[in-house]
Amino acid sequence: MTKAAAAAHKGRGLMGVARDNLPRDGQTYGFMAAFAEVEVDLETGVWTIVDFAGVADVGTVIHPHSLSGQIFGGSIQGIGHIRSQKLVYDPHYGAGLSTRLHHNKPPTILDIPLKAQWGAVGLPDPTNPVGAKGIGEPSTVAAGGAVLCALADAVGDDIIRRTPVQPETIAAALANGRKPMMHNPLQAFI
Amino acid sequence: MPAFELFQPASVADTLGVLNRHGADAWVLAGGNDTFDWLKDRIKKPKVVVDLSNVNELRGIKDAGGGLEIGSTTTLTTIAHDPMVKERFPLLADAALLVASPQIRNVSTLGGNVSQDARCWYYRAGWPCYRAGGNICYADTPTSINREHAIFNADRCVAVNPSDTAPALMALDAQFVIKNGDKERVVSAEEFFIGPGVNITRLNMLQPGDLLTAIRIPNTWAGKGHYCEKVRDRQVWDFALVNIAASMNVSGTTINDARMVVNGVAATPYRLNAVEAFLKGKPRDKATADAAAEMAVEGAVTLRHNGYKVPLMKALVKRAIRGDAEWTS
Repeated sequence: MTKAAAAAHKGRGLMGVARDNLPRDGQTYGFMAAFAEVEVDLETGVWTIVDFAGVADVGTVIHPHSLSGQIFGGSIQGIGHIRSQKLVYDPHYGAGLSTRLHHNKPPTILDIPLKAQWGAVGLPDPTNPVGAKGIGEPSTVAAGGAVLCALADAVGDDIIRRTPVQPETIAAALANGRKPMMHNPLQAFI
Repeated sequence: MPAFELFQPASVADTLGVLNRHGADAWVLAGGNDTFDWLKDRIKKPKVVVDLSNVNELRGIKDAGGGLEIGSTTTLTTIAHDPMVKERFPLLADAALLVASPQIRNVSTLGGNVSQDARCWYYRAGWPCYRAGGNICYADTPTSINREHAIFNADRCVAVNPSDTAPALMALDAQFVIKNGDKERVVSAEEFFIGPGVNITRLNMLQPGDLLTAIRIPNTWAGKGHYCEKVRDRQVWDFALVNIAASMNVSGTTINDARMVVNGVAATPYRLNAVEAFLKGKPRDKATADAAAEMAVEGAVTLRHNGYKVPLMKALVKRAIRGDAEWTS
């Protein structure tokens, strides 16, 4: 793939391409563990993340500040999926409805955890001389999962059936005798 | 953006002249946060845009005639931080801070916020519905995505009024000053906001040639208790799912008089007249709050996806009466 990519740029200028010959034994993955504490307002269904920690296994940490940005940044993206992000279309006409950012609702600075810490395991990865691995996507899923687990722990895992966990997911269920808002299979976001 | 003729008058008199000459062709531009969505999507294409940013007479807050008079192009940030507003009418200052985001509040005006158009996403995307002059409502069908739509007073259109300052102003008995040519009239908030039964294409009663110049708040509720809360999906830059604004005249633990207005549930800010009458003389306790909440949602007609607005509205009414989140059961 490297050769093909280099060939595609032929004639555009001076280019240098290098690839290592390090032996490869299996696959390499970056990992992250996330922990979250949430506070849920049971009357309105509005919830706040009061504490958060994300610990990454990225092998040797090369640039701590950049790593913290990746851990927190990816976490906020994952938290956004749990809190508010959605792509909505009208099921009858098939037309997109969430056409602007304020419909899609990415997380804002006021939606982030009130306290957050990051850490790294720091065990060098044996597959390369630097000992480093990647980070980027693991934080999204880990943080989102942690917040969702915290919400389930707070209100019970019988009433949350879908993300984003919008205020009514909790408020309406609690007002209706814990009957969760159900969605038909393959029904898109509302 | 579609091409238009731009006027930038420097006085109210000049503005009224331009508006009268161009009538229904003219679009009034204040902060632009409602305008630019329509223009950039090329759904509304006014021939004439009248920019108010040079009309200094429309900006400012003054102590006048037993209350405050706020110029219609005063920004929400200015209002939220004004000492007179914070001292006499903290309900308005709090409500102004709930609007959108700090950047938007820095340029948004009070007049613009109260006269903003509906945010129903079918209407905003230009689908030819009743509100757009057509013959159908796309949001009120069994398959529509109508989570943010109305539960009261539908009358063929289920869009809601999206303003956060409108219910606060109604709860403060505010008056709206409208000039047209050399005429001036002053209307109450209840007259200013109109439902689809009156005119399905507008959320307010401003006509071509009209200019909202000021909003006057009488000292009736100055220094009295207040409560406002906005429930939304994310904590900034989001319209309300439901919001509430209340003024309360309380002696000890007895409610003497109250104003309570909920928005996000109808095409106009929804004043809880029956609840206000019920609250007179009642103690500020859980029994009163529970009874008022039931009364507030009577007559609600829910759509497929907005049934949650009923328990949410009840919760907000209870909290407005309590004044804080003391009781969580």
